[in-house]
Amino acid sequence: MSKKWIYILLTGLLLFTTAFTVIKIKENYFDYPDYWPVPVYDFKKNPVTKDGFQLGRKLFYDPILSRDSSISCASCHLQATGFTHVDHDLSHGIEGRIGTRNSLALINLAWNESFMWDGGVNHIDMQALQPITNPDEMDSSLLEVVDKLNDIPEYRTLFYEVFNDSIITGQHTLKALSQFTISLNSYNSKYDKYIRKEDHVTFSQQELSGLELFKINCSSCHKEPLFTSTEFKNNGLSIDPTLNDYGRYRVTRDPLDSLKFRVPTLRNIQFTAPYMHDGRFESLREVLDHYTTGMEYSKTLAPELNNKIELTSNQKTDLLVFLKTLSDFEFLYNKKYSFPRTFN
Amino acid sequence: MYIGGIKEHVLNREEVLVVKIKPTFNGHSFTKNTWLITSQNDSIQISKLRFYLTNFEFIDAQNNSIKIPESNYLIDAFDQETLQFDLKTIKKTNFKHILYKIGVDEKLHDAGAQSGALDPINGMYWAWQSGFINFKLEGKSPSCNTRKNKFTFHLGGYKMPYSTTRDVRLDLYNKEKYIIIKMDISSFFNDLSLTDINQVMIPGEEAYQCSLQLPQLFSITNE
Repeated sequence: MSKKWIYILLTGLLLFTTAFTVIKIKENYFDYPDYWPVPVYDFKKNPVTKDGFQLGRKLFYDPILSRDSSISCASCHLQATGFTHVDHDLSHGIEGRIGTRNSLALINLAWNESFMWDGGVNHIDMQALQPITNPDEMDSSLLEVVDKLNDIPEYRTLFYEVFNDSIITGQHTLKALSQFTISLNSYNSKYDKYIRKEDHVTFSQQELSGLELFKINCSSCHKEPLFTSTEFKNNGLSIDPTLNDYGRYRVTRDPLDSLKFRVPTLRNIQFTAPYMHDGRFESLREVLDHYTTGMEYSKTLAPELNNKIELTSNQKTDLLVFLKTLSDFEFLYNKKYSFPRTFN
Repeated sequence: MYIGGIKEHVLNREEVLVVKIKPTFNGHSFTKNTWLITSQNDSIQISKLRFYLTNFEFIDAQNNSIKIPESNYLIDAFDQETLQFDLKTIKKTNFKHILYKIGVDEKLHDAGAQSGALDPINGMYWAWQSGFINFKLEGKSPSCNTRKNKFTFHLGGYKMPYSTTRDVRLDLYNKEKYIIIKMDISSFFNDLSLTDINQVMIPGEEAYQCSLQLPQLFSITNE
């Protein structure tokens, strides 16, 4: 056998073995199932540590981030509803101001290549800048936030412990927040346990039927296991004339991106109502009705939706039953993500 | 011995090279909100002029390149403290050219939160559409049919084909004590009529076109 052939054989063996190697970032506060894709987030630039996570958690729940210290990140991103704002179609700000988009759920963000409904934010570190500076949300500035934090000895101590610098900077504030939000991983739903054959979890006939229907009709955009894709799609929503939101077009100025929005994750979807970028649907049944009978056809419509989705009423019910298996109560009620009464 | 105007002590010893930025309008220094007239006959007042100069590099007589790592500076034309900075070089030699970028290296626009001059705390980073604002110029002119006659140029954008980060390469003489970089902001308005273009605050073709003029603003001076 020639050297070339040995080389090819060895490479093949190597590829074969790596394909089955466990990939896991086993930090104190960050891990995920072996069979998931590798996170996009570069942990080398901002390794998640226990102290960093706890500092980020404290900041996330601290209204000091808003101009009048009245609202925190958690005001619109509540843990029990998948870190989004249940019952509110558009985001809220200080003094009762209303934004223009539905707050997104904060789930499995380490796999996101961009953030916001239109992907305008290119890194999770920079995500917090948007609500902090948006006049309809926290209406402050990073400079103002950092000045306020520097006045609090407790924060200076905590920042010192994490970043070895007691002078709080914008960079460190954003990186601390990232350490918390990047760690909000949900992978213990009934669906996950069913896939992993854990705890003798089985699917009912209805759930199995729903999963099949999901695979046929939904999974090309809401890809397993994250139940999202990194793409932006026009899913046939009519334009709301009070908002005139053209989605990703605003960022790229490309007419081909008109009316395209982020494909959101469906994890914990049972609790993240209302739905869509403008929160126009209050229930998941309304969402299914939209996909079957409410579609508005336009040039940029997702090709996946060109063929009409047809579902009987019973099939819709099966699908809804399946979607509930994506609820992860260990995530929604995990004390390590909750309001930090005491650090633990 | 004196090379490049700066005393050379020991080989390989780290030294400091002082760079001064001298903002002018048609060669004359100017203060905030003084009335100025552009070559297009627009009367203007400049209230803000902030921009990044980054990635400094020197070329010596043997055409060796000496890159200065992490040389990122935020210049504010109306803040004296920002108009002079020290570049740490390794051995000083007779540099023939100085190279730098106007704006932040494209690679750093999507690399997460940065420190120092690049900390988003400095108000030079867009929240709604990520990326540094490489160059900010604001002021007023009766030629602008805008609210309070304001003009606002926030030049940013790091994605091709509309990257607004521009490269500068200037020849150095061997006599000056410091490197003095003159910036003549009047050149920004050479081909720009404020009646037509006065608000550029998003990345894209217009910001790109404005940024093409920026390298012409800079020159080396002995004064």
